[in-house]
Amino acid sequence: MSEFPLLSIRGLGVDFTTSRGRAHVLRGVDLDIARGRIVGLVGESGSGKSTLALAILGLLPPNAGSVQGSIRFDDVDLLNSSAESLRSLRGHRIAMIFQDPMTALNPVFTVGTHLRDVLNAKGSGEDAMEHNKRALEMLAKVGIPDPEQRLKAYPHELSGGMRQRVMIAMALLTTPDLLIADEPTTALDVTIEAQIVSLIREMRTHVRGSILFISHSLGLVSELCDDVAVMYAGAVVEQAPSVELFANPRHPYTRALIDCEIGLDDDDGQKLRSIPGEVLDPLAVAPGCTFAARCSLAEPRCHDQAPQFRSVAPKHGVACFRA
Amino acid sequence: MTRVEPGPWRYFASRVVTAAFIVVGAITLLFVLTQLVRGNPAEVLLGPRATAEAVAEFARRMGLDLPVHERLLQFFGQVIRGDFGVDIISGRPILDMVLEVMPFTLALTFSAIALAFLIGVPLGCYAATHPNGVGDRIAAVLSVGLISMPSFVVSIYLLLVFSIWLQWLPVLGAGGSGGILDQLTRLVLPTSALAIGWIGYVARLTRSSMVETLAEPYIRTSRAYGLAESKIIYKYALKNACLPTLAVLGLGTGRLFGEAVFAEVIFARPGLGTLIYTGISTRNYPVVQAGVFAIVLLFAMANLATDMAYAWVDPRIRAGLRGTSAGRR
Repeated sequence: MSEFPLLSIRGLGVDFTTSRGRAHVLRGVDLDIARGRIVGLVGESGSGKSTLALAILGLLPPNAGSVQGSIRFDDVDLLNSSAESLRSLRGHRIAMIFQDPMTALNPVFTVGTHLRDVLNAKGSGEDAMEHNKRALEMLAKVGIPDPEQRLKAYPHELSGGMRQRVMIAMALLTTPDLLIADEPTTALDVTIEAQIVSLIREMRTHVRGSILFISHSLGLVSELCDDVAVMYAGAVVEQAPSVELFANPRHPYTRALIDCEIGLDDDDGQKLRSIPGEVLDPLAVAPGCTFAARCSLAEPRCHDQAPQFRSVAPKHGVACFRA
Repeated sequence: MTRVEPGPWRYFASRVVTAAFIVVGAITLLFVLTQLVRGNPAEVLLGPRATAEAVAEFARRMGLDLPVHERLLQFFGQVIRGDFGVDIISGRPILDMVLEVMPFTLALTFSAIALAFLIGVPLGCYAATHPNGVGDRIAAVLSVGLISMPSFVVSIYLLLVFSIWLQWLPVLGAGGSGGILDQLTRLVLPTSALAIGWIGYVARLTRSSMVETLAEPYIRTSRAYGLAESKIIYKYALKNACLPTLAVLGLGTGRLFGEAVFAEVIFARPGLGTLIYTGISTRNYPVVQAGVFAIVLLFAMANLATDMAYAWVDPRIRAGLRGTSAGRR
């Protein structure tokens, strides 16, 4: 296996044209996904996690204006690929599981149609009978009872958890090198969440590639992922192996985030901890560190100079002057 | 009260009941309205020099001497028996007269609606997939122009241009005695006249629901799995986007039965429209009632068919989870 990472993102910036002006949703993201690892991407809502996922797939909405930087997938330069070659990567080498299984499946087509068309698009050269058989096997594999009946079911006839299993089955049918799971449990009940998480953990044995697991929950990510990248206001501020990150967080935002999660678990009536201040407005132009305004360690240079992402330990990178 | 499990049969039954209510309601309204029209039919038919006795006798034979509610009941009795009596002017059974001209109206209406959809839906899809492009803008201006033109005006200009100036197509009639080709060529102009406004309407409607559908998360899912763009548009999106258009199909067919009156009169085609038109001008109410009843029945059936088509396309309606035409959005 080659040494260079499966996915390598450098200085990725994405601006959206909105009625209020230019929104800088991604402000120079650096992220590496090593082969065969589960990488957790953590950040609060609006930090640009989903936009990052869509940028990798080449599915940014039409109002995404300028895109800078580079995304290299294996040996493919994704940002300079033709629409057709991107399309052939999607559903073949890169697959995605979406956040809300209620709206991510087409309401007027059966589960079977969804699964068979994934195989069709992949162009495996097999016939419809073979596709049906593989769809059935996959439904059974993701723990859907009575798969033959479910194949003929429409999305509205399934529960949220079952729909997310169908989405996972779609993703697995493509045997991707990179699987992106965008908050796959956020729309589900807590009990269902646990089932889906254990299913994703199980899937590791089926997915030969890497997984990018997007979540707003540090706890979930620490359970599941090998590496963690922390995102704040459109940039990755810290990336490290999970154990290292939780044992030795370097960025003030990561530390605050870990504190907040610990605060949540407290039963002794302690006040819920939160980070003072507000997230940087995407419309704002920030010459310095995006976290400076909320950071207790901020010094003058943090406000007018952007810290570069640098290595502080093996496989541990952080974008902070004070780390 | 035990709640009936929602499902396809319950849905079907509820739509049939609705259709029956539409028919009964429309006929009742028709009887009330004919009461408001001035002029004694018997006097009109017999002329100003008829004696009072002759007029009274004629009115009795037409069944016009009874009060309106009794005539209404009598009419529903006729509907159930399938016998609308004999036309006092031509001496022929009214049912025969209606059945004779019905195929002409059906052919005209259905070819018009088919034309409107065959052109309107692809036009709408094209506009939706090339938003704000040149084609989209041209389609928008054309559509609005076509929608705002009344079909009887279009009819007259079509006649003028294609039949009189260019002499490409026959002027009038349905070509009843001629071959099928003759009948078809005589169908071209009235069909176009009726369809033209609906093409614009269907195109606009398809465009807006297509644009909306293409922004849905499930379309992004299809894209994320590398499906071909043409398959995404014409399979995954169109089946969702055609739902509002389908809802219009039912109402549109119903309205076309009415608009067909103009086209039939202008192009001098036999049909329900012509039948009702002559019936009204001679105050021949029994014929008018039977003709309007036929149109109301066709309208209700078109609506029923639409509801069925709707349920066929959208499984959530089949399951009773979702309202139809009226309740959507």
